[in-house]
Amino acid sequence: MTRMLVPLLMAFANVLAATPALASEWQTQPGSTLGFAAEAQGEKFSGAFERFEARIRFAPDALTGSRFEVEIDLKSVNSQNTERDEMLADEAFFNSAAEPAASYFAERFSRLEDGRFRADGVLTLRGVSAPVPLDFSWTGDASAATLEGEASLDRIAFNVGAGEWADAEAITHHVSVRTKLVLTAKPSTTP
Amino acid sequence: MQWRNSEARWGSTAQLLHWGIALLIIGLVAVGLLMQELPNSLFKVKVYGWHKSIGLSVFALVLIRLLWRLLDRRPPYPLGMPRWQQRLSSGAHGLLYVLMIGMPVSGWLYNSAANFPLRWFGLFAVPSLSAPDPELKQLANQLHEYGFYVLAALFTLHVGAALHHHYFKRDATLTRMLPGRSKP
Repeated sequence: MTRMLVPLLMAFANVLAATPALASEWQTQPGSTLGFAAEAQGEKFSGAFERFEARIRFAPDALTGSRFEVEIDLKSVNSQNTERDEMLADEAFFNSAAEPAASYFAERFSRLEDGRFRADGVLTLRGVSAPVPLDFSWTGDASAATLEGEASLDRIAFNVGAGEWADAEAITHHVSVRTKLVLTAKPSTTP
Repeated sequence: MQWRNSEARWGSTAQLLHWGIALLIIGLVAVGLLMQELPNSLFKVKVYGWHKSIGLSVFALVLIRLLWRLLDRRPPYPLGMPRWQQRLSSGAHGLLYVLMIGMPVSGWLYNSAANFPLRWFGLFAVPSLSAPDPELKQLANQLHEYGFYVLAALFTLHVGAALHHHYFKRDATLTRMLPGRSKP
């Protein structure tokens, strides 16, 4: 009987040890950025959202329990050009008077061959939800980490710049997004 | 008609530069005043692009014209023109040159400080004169606007003086800037 019990207990102990580590919660710190770049009239321009809230739960060894939830204040867009920012707020672009926020949600993560990760997330912008994968690197330790990610999206899929602005020569359809999150671990709430 | 200036009249080079730049400036003023009234549209973006591209072309032409002015002789003032009129004419022409340089430069600076990239008629990138700078943008905008008022006043004086010489003084001041055979 004991001869059977010991391996059983050991197996149970192994299962306990193999239980995936919990993905920890992170708090964004100053220095975190969320920017985009595209081309208009053949010239590059870039901008950033000055206000966004990223609720990040992530651990490189606990992808299953990880989760990104980001809310972006579209009115905080700054492309260092007042006229352009006003135009981006217009109905034809972000329509931020009617839809002041965009959101990004991801709970499916995978590891890329180059050591980075991919979040198969969904971006909701102007009432349209569509998949936008985010590839990111994750560096740091258990208390402080940095996420550097990039994504690429088709603005037409989200009706950003519809009508005559859909002309790809006026503004490229492809918009690249870059983000850097400076993170510190939230103090654990579970005992 | 000679391409160089003579004692009696302006040559074809000076005339071409004078009338070409004049037409472009009149076009720039018309477009510049109207484009501000346009609603936001792709057309508006294009019209602004034209205004900027034509303005930069005028800048280049004025530089060539100044160089030509240095190299070539200038027909003298009509005989018997009072000294004060000569001074006024010389001062007004000097100021016209200041504005023909100042308007494109302030526009270029405004565009740069406002952080608009610019391609000359969509062909090549025009370098930016400044980093994005709201204060400089406002200053350049004011220079561009007030420059326009001064330019409009000088233009009126210039045309008025030319017509005065032609119809009242009956001298060759206007005709020597016109193509065709010079009258003795």
